[in-house]
Amino acid sequence: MKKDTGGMYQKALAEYRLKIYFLAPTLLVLIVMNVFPLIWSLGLSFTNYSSLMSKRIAWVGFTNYSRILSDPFIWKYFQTTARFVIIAVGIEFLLGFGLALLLKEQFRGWGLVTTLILIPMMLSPVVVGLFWTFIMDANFGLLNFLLGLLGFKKILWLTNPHLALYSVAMVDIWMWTPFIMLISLTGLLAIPQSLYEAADIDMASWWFKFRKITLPLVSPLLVLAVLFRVIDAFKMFDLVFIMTGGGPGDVTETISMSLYRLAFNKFKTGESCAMAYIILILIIALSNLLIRWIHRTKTA
Amino acid sequence: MERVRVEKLWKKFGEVEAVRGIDLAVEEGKFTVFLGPSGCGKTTTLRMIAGLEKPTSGDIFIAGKKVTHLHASRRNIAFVFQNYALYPHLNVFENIAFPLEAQKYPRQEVQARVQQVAKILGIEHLLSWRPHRLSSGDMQKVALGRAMVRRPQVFLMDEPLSGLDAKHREEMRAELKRLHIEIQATTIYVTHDQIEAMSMADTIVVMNQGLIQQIGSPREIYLWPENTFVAHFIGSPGMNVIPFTYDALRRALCLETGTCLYHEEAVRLVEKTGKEKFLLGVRPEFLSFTENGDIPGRIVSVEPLGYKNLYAVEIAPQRMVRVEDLEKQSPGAPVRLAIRWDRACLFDAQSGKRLRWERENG
Amino acid sequence: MTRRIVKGILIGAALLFFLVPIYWIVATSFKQWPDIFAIPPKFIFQSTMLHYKALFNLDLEEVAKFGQAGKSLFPPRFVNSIIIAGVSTLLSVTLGTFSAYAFSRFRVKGEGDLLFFILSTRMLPPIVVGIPFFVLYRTLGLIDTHVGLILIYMTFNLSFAVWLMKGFIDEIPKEFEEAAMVDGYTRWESFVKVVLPQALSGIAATAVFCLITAWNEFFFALILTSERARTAPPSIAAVQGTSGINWGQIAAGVTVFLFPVVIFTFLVRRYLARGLTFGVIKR
Ligand SMILES: Nc1ncnc2c1ncn2[C@@H]1O[C@H](COP(=O)(O)OP(=O)(O)O)[C@@H](O)[C@H]1O
Ligand SMILES: [Mg+2]
Repeated sequence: MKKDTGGMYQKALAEYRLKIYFLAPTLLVLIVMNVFPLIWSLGLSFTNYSSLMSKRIAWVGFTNYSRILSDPFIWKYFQTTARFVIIAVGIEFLLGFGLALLLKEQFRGWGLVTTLILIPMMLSPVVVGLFWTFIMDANFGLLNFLLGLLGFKKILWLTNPHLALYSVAMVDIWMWTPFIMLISLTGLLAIPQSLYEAADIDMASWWFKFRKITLPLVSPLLVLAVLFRVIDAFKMFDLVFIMTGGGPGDVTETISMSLYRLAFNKFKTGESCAMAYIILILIIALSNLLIRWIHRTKTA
Repeated sequence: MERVRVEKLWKKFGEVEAVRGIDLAVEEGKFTVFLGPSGCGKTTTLRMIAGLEKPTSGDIFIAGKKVTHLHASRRNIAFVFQNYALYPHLNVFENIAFPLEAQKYPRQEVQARVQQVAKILGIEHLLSWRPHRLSSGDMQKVALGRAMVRRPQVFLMDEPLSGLDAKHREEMRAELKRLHIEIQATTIYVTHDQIEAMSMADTIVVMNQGLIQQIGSPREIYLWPENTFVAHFIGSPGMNVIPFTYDALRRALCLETGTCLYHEEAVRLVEKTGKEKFLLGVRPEFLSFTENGDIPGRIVSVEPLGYKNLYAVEIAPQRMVRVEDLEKQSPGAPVRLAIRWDRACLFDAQSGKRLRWERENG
Repeated sequence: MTRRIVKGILIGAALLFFLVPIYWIVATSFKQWPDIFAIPPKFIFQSTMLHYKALFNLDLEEVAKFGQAGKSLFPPRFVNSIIIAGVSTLLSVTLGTFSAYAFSRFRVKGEGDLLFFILSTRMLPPIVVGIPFFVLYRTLGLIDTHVGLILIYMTFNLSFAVWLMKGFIDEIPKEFEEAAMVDGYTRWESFVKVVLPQALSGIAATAVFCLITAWNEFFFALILTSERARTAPPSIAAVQGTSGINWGQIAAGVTVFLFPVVIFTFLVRRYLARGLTFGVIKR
């Protein structure tokens, strides 16, 4: 009897050890590689440290924060980013959901078509930015040529200050509409066909079915997709960096772009850490929303 | 008056011929049951009547109007699905109210009618619940409620009780029957369960392999199956079907063992057809052990059914018949079986069709 | 009927919208120098492998005739991309699978919070994490090293791997291992012999997603590498010829770079929704 419980104890201990061995590396990596740098940069954000110059590091308190928060340009860049997010994600949502509705019923070649449409979102933003720059070239670009066929005049996609942000947004839309389409489609296909049959029997019109069955049943996934996209678009850097570098002037300067400039062109490391923290707080707020929603979706 | 009529209805799914030419008329106010083994095309037929499936050919009429090409949403029928198909995001009230709201009924009337239906079904206390919290019996009732609230031209039900456990199924069977008597709605009900069919139907339509085998009252179907399929399929165990040859010299029906049966009426019937091979169909309860019975055999096994016993009796090598009898017998015992000829059926061995007794024609 | 035609047209238009740009860049990579800038653009053209030769430093003499300056840096960077994406994927999937198993099968204190902490690390904007890393790596001498980039990509993909793998392992019934353990296997043995084989397709899908993410990553590669460990994305952008931007060679680089991604996309198409939502969506 005694020996038996000893065996049990041994076994429990072995399981416990295994659990630790399995979990510890991951947690260690995440703490060393994420938490520690974040704490460190929090420290830096209160200094005048510059990674370029080797001048003495001085403690400056909240100076960096107050400078950034009072900088009218930073506010402008926030607005630019917000405009970008709203335009891009808004249109992605409409197009993506619309496309999912079109692709809801299967046809011959359905699998191939849906997979082909998904390719853009799997590509590297750099590469996408590059070839869209090529396509949007004012003189020899394909886009202007095609529009020319429809009778449009030459459009300066990336150099017209009124247009550049929309052009970048358009590329984001090209890349990420498939994402919304995919998630919506997954949601739509998960609605049992028998519900629509029941609604047909109940003499419901197309619009009534759409409002009372389709929308309520896909909306959790739609919200999820949009949240993912908002967070991603908010962080957007690669496309702007490649396509416009923030220009012309500063019309496409998003906060990620301006943070990059602050940290790696002007090398104001301390100040950039402060700005990074301000962005971080916003992202955390958004992520929290997302995480809560994931929680809800998972339990439902 | 007939409420639903179906003419030469066919349905092919690619290569599969699910329904192969069905003609049928359903009487107004009657409870009609489609009965048949799984995969015989019952659901497909019902779905075509509902408009959820397009017939490959043939026509459907509801209340005298041709609806073959009318969309399901314009046929004014109600359909209770096998899996209930309740709207998961709506509560019970909203589920039942759905068809009324789709028709833009005024709110007060919706309220009143849902309440009334809920009361009939005894689910008033569940109105604010979501379907996933309900037991399958209650889901069943909600599905029924959603059908009843509309006062449709026809009720169509596809195995509505198959998701319930035995006890609830029995309760709901009685409940459905009561409801039908109360509202007298024309109902077509699909099931593979003959007890359901027997206990609820006014008319049973027996189907197999996409064809109608027989249409009749439960009693007709049980006692006088039109063919050997119905004979086997109905009853548990099904009817005993014993092959025999007509011996014209002896004017007798002879089994493969050489045992011959001398029954004047049967011989006359068989003689008229001019054929040789036939099948004799007798239900287990119409066979009994008698000392001077016609067919000798040996008891192989006994299943006690409570007040009587079900026996398997070997009457020839590898040929078993089932006998229901009150008498107590043990395995191995030699017995002689007597046939109740007034309840026996004769089938043509080739076509499997039943031969009609002279008395049936007169 | 008209509805079906309209639908077909719309779907066709969507396909064109999403595929023509890709087609265009691939086509450009095969175009001769003047055709690339032809007005109107040429849809039918004489194809050439020149840009690919230039990209991989083959036949330098012929390439030089067309005014290309110097050797292309693409081959070593392509190799860097393969090494860094490959090794980091291996690491994150391995660690991720272990901890996913632990989360799935053991009682872990504060499991929900831990999991969401792990998820939240993935939400951090690269640029925010990038600044301290830049400073840190300079101090540690990890700038422009393979190890440095591998560590970052591993971390970045780790949270993703944990979440996705947890979903996959959750779907493997516990009873299999319990049966194995009743038969005398230890927990570790039953993990290796029972769980891993069944999780294989999930592991493969997770690996492909990590691979694609690491392969495509641009920002960290831009700020943390310059020469030795530089991967393809930041260098494709920087191919300059004597006459401005060398679009032919960029197009060739892009095509070579896209090819594996498209193949992998097809391989994991069943898992796309799942992969892109951290396994929240199960199909
Ligand atoms: N949508 C469908 N596609 C292909 N075959 C089908 C479909 N629906 C039913 N079938 C086939 O048609 C036959 C009849 O099916 P069904 O009407 O569902 O039978 P029952 O309801 O009597 O069990 C079966 O062989 C079944 O496999
Ligand atoms: Mg069926």
